[in-house]
Amino acid sequence: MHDGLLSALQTVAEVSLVSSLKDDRLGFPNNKDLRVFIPDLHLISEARRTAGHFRFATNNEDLLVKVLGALKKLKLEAAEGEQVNVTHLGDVLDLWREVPHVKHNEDTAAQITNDHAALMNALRDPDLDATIFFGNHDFELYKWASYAGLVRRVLFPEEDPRVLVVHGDLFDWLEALPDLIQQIPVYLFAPNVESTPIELGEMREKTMPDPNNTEHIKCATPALVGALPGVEDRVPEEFNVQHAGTAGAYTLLFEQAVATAKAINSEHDLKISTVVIGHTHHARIVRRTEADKLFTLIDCGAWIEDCISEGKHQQPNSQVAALCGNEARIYQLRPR
Amino acid sequence: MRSNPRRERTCSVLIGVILVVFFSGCGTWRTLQQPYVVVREAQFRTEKTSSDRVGLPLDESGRLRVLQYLKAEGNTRLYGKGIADLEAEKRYAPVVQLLSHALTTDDLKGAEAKKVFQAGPVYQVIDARERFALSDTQVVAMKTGSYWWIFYHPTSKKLEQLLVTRDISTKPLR
Repeated sequence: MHDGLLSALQTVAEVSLVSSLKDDRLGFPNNKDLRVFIPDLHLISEARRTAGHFRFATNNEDLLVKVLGALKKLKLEAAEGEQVNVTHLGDVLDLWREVPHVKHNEDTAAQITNDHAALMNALRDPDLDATIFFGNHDFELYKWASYAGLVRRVLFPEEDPRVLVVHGDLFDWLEALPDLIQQIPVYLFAPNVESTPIELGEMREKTMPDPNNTEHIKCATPALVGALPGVEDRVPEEFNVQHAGTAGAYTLLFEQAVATAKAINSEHDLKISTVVIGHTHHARIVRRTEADKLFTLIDCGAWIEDCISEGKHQQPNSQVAALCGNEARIYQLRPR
Repeated sequence: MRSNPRRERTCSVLIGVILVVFFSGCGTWRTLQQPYVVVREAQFRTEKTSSDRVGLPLDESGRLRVLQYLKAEGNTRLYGKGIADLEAEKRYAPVVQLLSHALTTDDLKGAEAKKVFQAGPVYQVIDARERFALSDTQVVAMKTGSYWWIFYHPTSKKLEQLLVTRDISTKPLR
Protein backbone atom coordinates (compact mmCIF):
# COMPACT_ATOMS: atom_id res chain seq x y z
CA MET A 1 0.00 0.00 0.00
CA HIS A 2 3.03 2.27 0.43
CA ASP A 3 3.54 2.33 -3.31
CA GLY A 4 -0.11 3.23 -3.84
CA LEU A 5 0.30 6.18 -1.48
CA LEU A 6 3.48 7.28 -3.21
CA SER A 7 1.75 7.18 -6.60
CA ALA A 8 -1.18 9.16 -5.21
CA LEU A 9 1.13 11.82 -3.76
CA GLN A 10 3.05 12.04 -7.02
CA THR A 11 -0.14 12.96 -8.85
CA VAL A 12 -0.24 16.24 -6.94
CA ALA A 13 3.34 16.95 -5.78
CA GLU A 14 7.03 16.54 -6.34
CA VAL A 15 7.95 13.91 -3.77
CA SER A 16 11.30 13.31 -2.11
CA LEU A 17 12.24 10.94 0.66
CA VAL A 18 13.13 12.21 4.13
CA SER A 19 13.53 8.83 5.78
CA SER A 20 12.45 5.22 5.50
CA LEU A 21 12.71 2.13 7.67
CA LYS A 22 11.48 -1.41 7.13
CA ASP A 23 11.86 -3.69 10.14
CA ASP A 24 9.74 -6.58 11.41
CA ARG A 25 9.93 -5.09 14.91
CA LEU A 26 8.09 -1.87 14.06
CA GLY A 27 4.95 -3.37 15.56
CA PHE A 28 2.53 -2.93 12.67
CA PRO A 29 2.80 -5.89 10.29
CA ASN A 30 -0.64 -5.38 8.73
CA ASN A 31 -0.04 -4.66 5.06
CA LYS A 32 -3.72 -4.07 4.36
CA ASP A 33 -3.96 -1.06 6.68
CA LEU A 34 -2.14 2.10 5.63
CA ARG A 35 -1.75 4.71 8.35
CA VAL A 36 -1.01 8.17 6.94
CA PHE A 37 0.11 10.94 9.29
CA ILE A 38 -0.07 14.65 8.59
CA PRO A 39 1.83 16.83 11.06
CA ASP A 40 1.48 20.37 12.46
CA LEU A 41 -0.15 23.15 10.41
CA HIS A 42 -0.40 26.04 12.93
CA LEU A 43 -3.12 27.89 11.06
CA ILE A 44 -3.85 31.46 12.15
CA SER A 45 -6.20 34.07 10.72
CA GLU A 46 -4.99 36.32 7.94
CA ALA A 47 -5.59 39.36 10.09
CA ARG A 48 -3.38 37.98 12.85
CA ARG A 49 -0.69 36.85 10.40
CA THR A 50 -0.50 40.33 8.94
CA ALA A 51 -0.59 42.11 12.28
CA GLY A 52 1.92 39.74 13.89
CA HIS A 53 4.50 40.08 11.08
CA PHE A 54 5.25 36.38 11.46
CA ARG A 55 8.02 35.02 9.28
CA PHE A 56 6.33 31.63 9.15
CA ALA A 57 2.76 30.68 8.33
CA THR A 58 1.35 27.39 7.11
CA ASN A 59 3.28 26.21 4.06
CA ASN A 60 1.81 25.15 0.72
CA GLU A 61 -1.80 25.28 1.84
CA ASP A 62 -3.14 24.69 -1.67
CA LEU A 63 -0.89 21.66 -2.04
CA LEU A 64 -2.17 20.21 1.22
CA VAL A 65 -5.75 20.54 -0.02
CA LYS A 66 -4.73 18.54 -3.08
CA VAL A 67 -2.91 15.97 -0.94
CA LEU A 68 -6.00 15.48 1.20
CA GLY A 69 -8.05 15.07 -1.96
CA ALA A 70 -5.61 12.45 -3.23
CA LEU A 71 -5.78 10.63 0.12
CA LYS A 72 -9.56 10.65 0.02
CA LYS A 73 -9.49 9.14 -3.48
CA LEU A 74 -6.98 6.53 -2.31
CA LYS A 75 -9.22 5.66 0.63
CA LEU A 76 -12.41 5.45 -1.40
CA GLU A 77 -10.75 3.33 -4.06
CA ALA A 78 -8.98 0.98 -1.66
CA ALA A 79 -9.27 -2.68 -2.62
CA GLU A 80 -11.61 -4.92 -0.66
CA GLY A 81 -10.05 -5.76 2.69
CA GLU A 82 -7.68 -2.80 2.56
CA GLN A 83 -8.09 0.42 4.49
CA VAL A 84 -6.48 3.83 4.51
CA ASN A 85 -6.56 5.73 7.82
CA VAL A 86 -5.55 9.37 7.81
CA THR A 87 -4.47 11.05 11.04
CA HIS A 88 -3.66 14.68 11.68
CA LEU A 89 -1.24 14.81 14.59
CA GLY A 90 -2.44 18.06 16.18
CA ASP A 91 -1.71 21.77 16.11
CA VAL A 92 -4.07 22.21 13.18
CA LEU A 93 -4.83 25.64 14.60
CA ASP A 94 -2.45 27.87 16.52
CA LEU A 95 -4.61 29.43 19.20
CA TRP A 96 -1.51 30.53 21.08
CA ARG A 97 -0.37 32.80 18.29
CA GLU A 98 -3.92 33.88 17.47
CA VAL A 99 -4.99 35.26 20.86
CA PRO A 100 -3.35 35.79 24.25
CA HIS A 101 -6.26 34.08 26.04
CA VAL A 102 -9.01 31.87 24.68
CA LYS A 103 -12.45 32.89 25.91
CA HIS A 104 -15.28 30.43 25.87
CA ASN A 105 -17.77 32.90 24.44
CA GLU A 106 -15.53 34.00 21.57
CA ASP A 107 -15.15 31.53 18.75
CA THR A 108 -11.47 32.02 18.11
CA ALA A 109 -11.34 28.73 16.22
CA ALA A 110 -13.92 29.92 13.67
CA GLN A 111 -11.99 33.17 13.33
CA ILE A 112 -9.07 31.10 12.05
CA THR A 113 -10.87 28.38 10.09
CA ASN A 114 -12.98 30.87 8.14
CA ASP A 115 -9.75 32.06 6.54
CA HIS A 116 -8.79 28.49 5.58
CA ALA A 117 -12.15 27.06 4.54
CA ALA A 118 -10.89 24.86 1.68
CA LEU A 119 -8.24 23.22 3.85
CA MET A 120 -10.50 22.73 6.86
CA ASN A 121 -13.27 21.30 4.68
CA ALA A 122 -10.80 18.90 3.06
CA LEU A 123 -9.42 17.82 6.44
CA ARG A 124 -12.87 17.32 7.94
CA ASP A 125 -14.39 15.69 4.87
CA PRO A 126 -16.54 12.79 6.14
CA ASP A 127 -15.29 10.60 3.29
CA LEU A 128 -11.69 11.16 4.40
CA ASP A 129 -12.75 10.35 7.97
CA ALA A 130 -9.49 11.69 9.38
CA THR A 131 -8.67 11.28 13.05
CA ILE A 132 -7.53 14.67 14.36
CA PHE A 133 -5.41 15.10 17.47
CA PHE A 134 -5.21 17.91 19.97
CA GLY A 135 -1.83 19.61 19.87
CA ASN A 136 -0.53 21.91 22.56
CA HIS A 137 -1.20 25.02 20.47
CA ASP A 138 -4.83 24.03 19.96
CA PHE A 139 -5.57 22.08 23.12
CA GLU A 140 -8.10 24.72 24.14
CA LEU A 141 -10.34 23.54 21.30
CA TYR A 142 -11.83 21.23 23.92
CA LYS A 143 -14.00 24.21 24.87
CA TRP A 144 -16.04 23.94 21.66
CA ALA A 145 -18.50 21.15 20.94
CA SER A 146 -17.60 21.01 17.25
CA TYR A 147 -14.10 19.84 18.22
CA ALA A 148 -15.29 17.18 20.67
CA GLY A 149 -14.02 14.46 18.36
CA LEU A 150 -10.37 15.41 18.70
CA VAL A 151 -8.21 12.85 20.48
CA ARG A 152 -5.07 12.94 22.65
CA ARG A 153 -3.61 9.51 22.04
CA VAL A 154 -4.31 6.39 20.02
CA LEU A 155 -2.72 2.99 20.36
CA PHE A 156 -2.86 0.34 17.64
CA PRO A 157 -3.34 -2.39 16.52
CA GLU A 158 -6.42 -2.61 18.75
CA GLU A 159 -5.98 -6.29 19.62
CA ASP A 160 -2.32 -5.97 20.65
CA PRO A 161 -1.15 -2.32 20.74
CA ARG A 162 2.46 -1.84 19.62
CA VAL A 163 2.28 1.72 18.28
CA LEU A 164 1.54 4.84 20.31
CA VAL A 165 0.44 7.99 18.49
CA VAL A 166 0.50 11.33 20.33
CA HIS A 167 1.08 14.93 19.32
CA GLY A 168 4.45 14.85 21.09
CA ASP A 169 4.25 17.84 23.42
CA LEU A 170 4.09 15.36 26.30
CA PHE A 171 7.74 14.53 25.70
CA ASP A 172 8.67 18.18 25.55
CA TRP A 173 7.16 18.72 28.97
CA LEU A 174 8.96 15.76 30.43
CA GLU A 175 12.20 17.40 29.38
CA ALA A 176 11.44 21.01 30.21
CA LEU A 177 9.13 20.76 33.19
CA PRO A 178 10.39 18.14 35.62
CA ASP A 179 7.98 19.42 38.27
CA LEU A 180 5.12 18.16 36.15
CA ILE A 181 6.77 14.89 35.26
CA GLN A 182 4.35 12.92 37.41
CA GLN A 183 1.24 14.89 36.60
CA ILE A 184 1.27 15.00 32.84
CA PRO A 185 1.60 11.29 32.05
CA VAL A 186 -1.13 10.64 34.60
CA TYR A 187 -3.31 13.19 32.86
CA LEU A 188 -2.69 11.73 29.44
CA PHE A 189 -2.63 8.03 30.11
CA ALA A 190 -4.50 7.34 33.32
CA PRO A 191 -7.95 8.74 32.72
CA ASN A 192 -9.37 7.04 35.79
CA VAL A 193 -7.96 9.87 37.86
CA GLU A 194 -11.04 11.95 38.45
CA SER A 195 -9.58 15.30 39.38
CA THR A 196 -7.74 17.22 36.72
CA PRO A 197 -4.12 17.14 37.90
CA ILE A 198 -3.14 20.20 35.96
CA GLU A 199 -5.22 23.13 34.87
CA LEU A 200 -5.20 23.76 31.16
CA GLY A 201 -4.64 27.45 31.64
CA GLU A 202 -1.58 26.61 33.68
CA MET A 203 -0.40 24.30 30.90
CA ARG A 204 -0.47 27.13 28.41
CA GLU A 205 1.30 29.53 30.75
CA LYS A 206 4.02 27.04 31.59
CA THR A 207 4.72 25.80 28.12
CA MET A 208 3.94 28.71 25.84
CA PRO A 209 6.86 30.20 24.00
CA ASP A 210 6.59 33.86 23.08
CA PRO A 211 3.50 33.90 20.81
CA ASN A 212 4.71 37.15 19.28
CA ASN A 213 8.05 35.70 18.24
CA THR A 214 8.09 36.60 14.57
CA GLU A 215 11.07 34.42 13.70
CA HIS A 216 10.18 30.87 14.66
CA ILE A 217 7.88 28.54 16.59
CA LYS A 218 9.85 25.35 17.27
CA CYS A 219 12.83 25.33 14.93
CA ALA A 220 15.24 28.16 15.65
CA THR A 221 17.06 27.08 12.50
CA PRO A 222 15.78 24.99 9.59
CA ALA A 223 15.63 21.30 10.43
CA LEU A 224 18.27 19.16 8.71
CA VAL A 225 16.43 16.33 7.06
CA GLY A 226 19.08 14.62 4.98
CA ALA A 227 19.67 14.32 1.28
CA LEU A 228 16.05 14.34 0.07
CA PRO A 229 16.46 12.19 -3.02
CA GLY A 230 13.61 11.79 -5.42
CA VAL A 231 11.71 8.54 -5.20
CA GLU A 232 11.73 7.49 -8.82
CA ASP A 233 13.71 4.41 -7.89
CA ARG A 234 12.80 1.79 -5.30
CA VAL A 235 12.50 3.22 -1.79
CA PRO A 236 15.31 1.73 0.33
CA GLU A 237 14.50 -0.35 3.39
CA GLU A 238 16.54 2.00 5.52
CA PHE A 239 17.32 5.56 4.55
CA ASN A 240 18.49 8.50 6.64
CA VAL A 241 17.56 6.85 9.96
CA GLN A 242 19.00 8.40 13.09
CA HIS A 243 20.60 5.76 15.32
CA ALA A 244 20.30 6.88 18.92
CA GLY A 245 23.62 6.65 20.72
CA THR A 246 25.58 7.36 17.54
CA ALA A 247 27.59 10.56 17.30
CA GLY A 248 25.73 13.29 15.45
CA ALA A 249 22.37 11.55 15.53
CA TYR A 250 19.45 13.92 15.95
CA THR A 251 17.48 12.32 18.76
CA LEU A 252 15.30 15.11 20.17
CA LEU A 253 12.54 13.61 22.39
CA PHE A 254 13.58 10.02 21.58
CA GLU A 255 14.58 9.15 25.14
CA GLN A 256 11.34 10.60 26.51
CA ALA A 257 9.34 8.61 23.97
CA VAL A 258 11.13 5.38 24.89
CA ALA A 259 10.69 6.06 28.62
CA THR A 260 6.96 6.68 28.11
CA ALA A 261 6.55 3.53 26.00
CA LYS A 262 8.30 1.50 28.68
CA ALA A 263 6.13 3.02 31.43
CA ILE A 264 2.93 2.16 29.52
CA ASN A 265 4.23 -1.34 28.78
CA SER A 266 4.98 -1.88 32.42
CA GLU A 267 1.66 -0.55 33.70
CA HIS A 268 -0.58 -2.18 31.11
CA ASP A 269 1.45 -5.26 30.19
CA LEU A 270 1.83 -4.10 26.59
CA LYS A 271 4.64 -4.10 24.04
CA ILE A 272 4.68 -0.58 22.64
CA SER A 273 7.80 -0.23 20.52
CA THR A 274 7.00 2.56 18.07
CA VAL A 275 5.94 6.12 18.88
CA VAL A 276 4.56 8.48 16.22
CA ILE A 277 4.62 12.23 16.84
CA GLY A 278 4.56 15.67 15.21
CA HIS A 279 5.25 18.73 17.36
CA THR A 280 8.98 19.29 16.82
CA HIS A 281 8.69 20.35 13.15
CA HIS A 282 11.73 18.18 12.45
CA ALA A 283 10.92 15.14 10.35
CA ARG A 284 13.03 12.06 11.06
CA ILE A 285 13.01 8.42 12.13
CA VAL A 286 15.09 7.55 15.20
CA ARG A 287 15.80 4.01 16.31
CA ARG A 288 17.68 2.05 18.95
CA THR A 289 17.90 -1.65 19.60
CA GLU A 290 17.85 -2.81 23.22
CA ALA A 291 18.37 -6.53 23.80
CA ASP A 292 17.03 -7.31 20.32
CA LYS A 293 14.04 -5.08 20.92
CA LEU A 294 13.67 -2.11 18.59
CA PHE A 295 12.39 1.25 19.84
CA THR A 296 11.48 3.67 17.09
CA LEU A 297 10.38 7.30 17.04
CA ILE A 298 8.68 8.47 13.85
CA ASP A 299 8.61 12.27 13.91
CA CYS A 300 6.42 13.26 11.00
CA GLY A 301 7.64 16.86 10.62
CA ALA A 302 5.35 19.82 9.90
CA TRP A 303 3.73 22.11 7.35
CA ILE A 304 5.30 25.21 8.88
CA GLU A 305 8.88 26.46 9.15
CA ASP A 306 11.65 25.13 6.93
CA CYS A 307 13.85 22.12 6.46
CA ILE A 308 17.20 21.92 4.75
CA SER A 309 18.84 19.03 3.01
CA GLU A 310 22.56 18.40 2.99
CA GLY A 311 24.19 21.22 1.10
CA LYS A 312 20.96 22.18 -0.61
CA HIS A 313 18.68 25.18 -0.35
CA GLN A 314 16.18 25.21 2.44
CA GLN A 315 12.58 24.55 1.55
CA PRO A 316 9.24 24.82 3.37
CA ASN A 317 8.38 21.84 5.55
CA SER A 318 5.55 19.95 3.82
CA GLN A 319 5.75 16.41 5.09
CA VAL A 320 3.59 13.32 5.17
CA ALA A 321 4.48 10.05 6.91
CA ALA A 322 3.07 6.58 6.50
CA LEU A 323 3.20 3.26 8.34
CA CYS A 324 2.10 -0.06 6.86
CA GLY A 325 3.43 -3.63 6.80
CA ASN A 326 6.22 -2.83 9.29
CA GLU A 327 7.56 -0.13 7.01
CA ALA A 328 7.68 3.58 7.84
CA ARG A 329 8.31 6.35 5.33
CA ILE A 330 8.43 10.12 5.55
CA TYR A 331 8.07 12.19 2.41
CA GLN A 332 8.77 15.84 1.70
CA LEU A 333 6.37 17.37 -0.83
CA ARG A 334 6.67 20.37 -3.12
CA PRO A 335 4.05 21.88 -5.42
CA ARG A 336 4.35 20.76 -9.01
CA MET B 1 -31.56 54.47 69.44
CA ARG B 2 -28.21 55.79 68.22
CA SER B 3 -26.76 54.09 65.17
CA ASN B 4 -23.34 52.50 65.44
CA PRO B 5 -21.52 52.87 62.05
CA ARG B 6 -18.97 50.20 62.91
CA ARG B 7 -21.66 47.68 63.85
CA GLU B 8 -23.66 48.52 60.72
CA ARG B 9 -20.59 48.02 58.54
CA THR B 10 -19.89 44.67 60.21
CA CYS B 11 -23.51 43.62 59.68
CA SER B 12 -23.35 44.63 56.00
CA VAL B 13 -20.19 42.63 55.48
CA LEU B 14 -21.71 39.60 57.24
CA ILE B 15 -24.88 39.77 55.15
CA GLY B 16 -22.77 40.10 52.02
CA VAL B 17 -20.73 37.05 52.94
CA ILE B 18 -23.87 35.04 53.68
CA LEU B 19 -25.39 36.03 50.32
CA VAL B 20 -22.22 35.14 48.44
CA VAL B 21 -22.02 31.77 50.18
CA PHE B 22 -25.72 31.14 49.55
CA PHE B 23 -25.66 31.95 45.86
CA SER B 24 -22.38 30.21 45.17
CA GLY B 25 -23.87 27.18 46.91
CA CYS B 26 -26.89 27.37 44.62
CA GLY B 27 -24.56 27.51 41.65
CA THR B 28 -22.82 24.36 42.80
CA TRP B 29 -26.12 22.63 43.35
CA ARG B 30 -27.31 23.53 39.87
CA THR B 31 -24.09 22.19 38.38
CA LEU B 32 -24.27 18.91 40.24
CA GLN B 33 -27.97 18.32 39.74
CA GLN B 34 -27.92 18.49 35.95
CA PRO B 35 -31.62 18.68 35.04
CA TYR B 36 -31.43 16.99 31.67
CA VAL B 37 -29.31 14.70 29.53
CA VAL B 38 -28.65 15.23 25.83
CA VAL B 39 -28.16 12.38 23.38
CA ARG B 40 -25.13 13.38 21.36
CA GLU B 41 -24.32 13.02 17.66
CA ALA B 42 -23.87 9.51 16.21
CA GLN B 43 -20.10 9.82 16.60
CA PHE B 44 -20.44 10.03 20.38
CA ARG B 45 -23.06 7.40 21.17
CA THR B 46 -23.27 3.62 21.09
CA GLU B 47 -25.96 3.50 18.39
CA LYS B 48 -26.44 5.00 14.97
CA THR B 49 -30.22 4.60 15.09
CA SER B 50 -32.63 3.48 17.78
CA SER B 51 -33.07 0.20 15.89
CA ASP B 52 -29.54 -0.89 16.85
CA ARG B 53 -29.86 -0.02 20.55
CA VAL B 54 -28.00 -2.26 23.02
CA GLY B 55 -30.29 -4.81 24.68
CA LEU B 56 -30.47 -5.34 28.45
CA PRO B 57 -29.40 -7.24 30.40
CA LEU B 58 -26.08 -7.15 28.58
CA ASP B 59 -25.11 -10.39 26.88
CA GLU B 60 -21.63 -11.12 25.54
CA SER B 61 -22.11 -9.12 22.33
CA GLY B 62 -23.65 -6.23 24.28
CA ARG B 63 -20.71 -6.16 26.69
CA LEU B 64 -18.24 -6.15 23.78
CA ARG B 65 -20.13 -3.34 22.09
CA VAL B 66 -20.18 -1.15 25.16
CA LEU B 67 -16.52 -1.86 25.91
CA GLN B 68 -15.52 -1.07 22.34
CA TYR B 69 -17.23 2.31 22.72
CA LEU B 70 -15.56 3.03 26.05
CA LYS B 71 -12.11 1.96 24.79
CA ALA B 72 -12.56 4.42 21.93
CA GLU B 73 -13.19 7.07 24.60
CA GLY B 74 -16.77 7.46 23.38
CA ASN B 75 -15.66 8.34 19.85
CA THR B 76 -16.99 5.77 17.39
CA ARG B 77 -14.84 7.19 14.59
CA LEU B 78 -11.92 5.45 16.29
CA TYR B 79 -13.51 2.01 15.78
CA GLY B 80 -11.04 -0.11 13.86
CA LYS B 81 -8.35 2.55 14.13
CA GLY B 82 -7.06 2.18 17.67
CA ILE B 83 -7.61 2.39 21.41
CA ALA B 84 -7.81 5.76 23.16
CA ASP B 85 -8.51 4.63 26.74
CA LEU B 86 -6.35 1.75 27.91
CA GLU B 87 -8.08 1.54 31.29
CA ALA B 88 -11.68 1.57 30.12
CA GLU B 89 -12.23 -2.17 30.49
CA LYS B 90 -10.99 -2.21 34.07
CA ARG B 91 -12.63 1.04 35.11
CA TYR B 92 -16.09 0.28 33.77
CA ALA B 93 -16.11 -3.43 34.64
CA PRO B 94 -18.40 -2.88 37.68
CA VAL B 95 -21.00 -1.05 35.56
CA VAL B 96 -20.89 -3.66 32.81
CA GLN B 97 -21.16 -6.39 35.41
CA LEU B 98 -24.17 -4.71 37.05
CA LEU B 99 -25.92 -4.27 33.71
CA SER B 100 -25.40 -7.93 32.89
CA HIS B 101 -28.22 -8.69 35.34
CA ALA B 102 -31.92 -7.96 34.91
CA LEU B 103 -32.65 -4.59 36.52
CA THR B 104 -35.60 -2.30 37.15
CA THR B 105 -35.78 1.46 37.57
CA ASP B 106 -35.95 0.89 41.31
CA ASP B 107 -32.56 -0.83 41.20
CA LEU B 108 -31.02 2.38 39.87
CA LYS B 109 -31.76 3.99 43.22
CA GLY B 110 -30.31 1.07 45.18
CA ALA B 111 -26.99 0.57 46.92
CA GLU B 112 -25.39 -1.37 44.06
CA ALA B 113 -26.15 1.38 41.54
CA LYS B 114 -24.84 4.03 43.91
CA LYS B 115 -21.53 2.19 44.01
CA VAL B 116 -21.01 2.40 40.25
CA PHE B 117 -22.84 5.55 39.16
CA GLN B 118 -21.84 9.02 40.26
CA ALA B 119 -25.04 10.87 39.34
CA GLY B 120 -28.66 10.18 38.54
CA PRO B 121 -31.30 9.15 38.12
CA VAL B 122 -32.19 11.92 35.67
CA TYR B 123 -35.51 11.57 33.89
CA GLN B 124 -35.33 14.40 31.36
CA VAL B 125 -33.61 13.04 28.25
CA ILE B 126 -33.45 15.20 25.12
CA ASP B 127 -33.11 13.30 21.86
CA ALA B 128 -33.66 15.42 18.75
CA ARG B 129 -34.21 12.27 16.70
CA GLU B 130 -37.51 11.59 18.50
CA ARG B 131 -40.81 12.87 17.14
CA PHE B 132 -42.02 13.79 20.62
CA ALA B 133 -40.43 14.47 23.98
CA LEU B 134 -39.46 11.27 25.75
CA SER B 135 -41.68 10.35 28.66
CA ASP B 136 -40.07 10.23 32.08
CA THR B 137 -41.95 6.98 32.67
CA GLN B 138 -40.03 5.35 29.82
CA VAL B 139 -36.48 6.59 30.13
CA VAL B 140 -33.95 7.25 32.88
CA ALA B 141 -30.26 8.19 32.81
CA MET B 142 -27.30 7.62 35.14
CA LYS B 143 -23.79 9.01 34.91
CA THR B 144 -20.29 7.62 35.39
CA GLY B 145 -17.21 9.65 34.53
CA SER B 146 -17.83 11.43 31.25
CA TYR B 147 -20.65 9.19 30.10
CA TRP B 148 -24.42 9.13 30.47
CA TRP B 149 -25.99 5.68 30.50
CA ILE B 150 -29.55 6.08 29.22
CA PHE B 151 -31.94 3.26 30.05
CA TYR B 152 -35.18 2.64 28.17
CA HIS B 153 -38.09 0.86 29.86
CA PRO B 154 -40.99 1.36 27.46
CA THR B 155 -43.59 -0.91 28.99
CA SER B 156 -42.71 -1.47 32.62
CA LYS B 157 -40.05 -0.71 35.21
CA LYS B 158 -37.82 -3.36 33.66
CA LEU B 159 -34.78 -1.85 31.90
CA GLU B 160 -34.86 -3.17 28.35
CA GLN B 161 -32.41 -1.14 26.31
CA LEU B 162 -29.31 0.99 26.76
CA LEU B 163 -27.65 3.91 25.00
CA VAL B 164 -24.32 5.28 26.23
CA THR B 165 -23.34 8.79 25.18
CA ARG B 166 -20.66 11.31 26.07
CA ASP B 167 -21.58 14.13 28.37
CA ILE B 168 -21.55 17.61 26.89
CA SER B 169 -18.69 19.12 28.75
CA THR B 170 -16.20 21.90 28.31
CA LYS B 171 -13.67 19.83 30.20
CA PRO B 172 -11.48 17.46 28.20
CA LEU B 173 -12.68 13.88 28.38
CA ARG B 174 -10.97 11.88 31.06
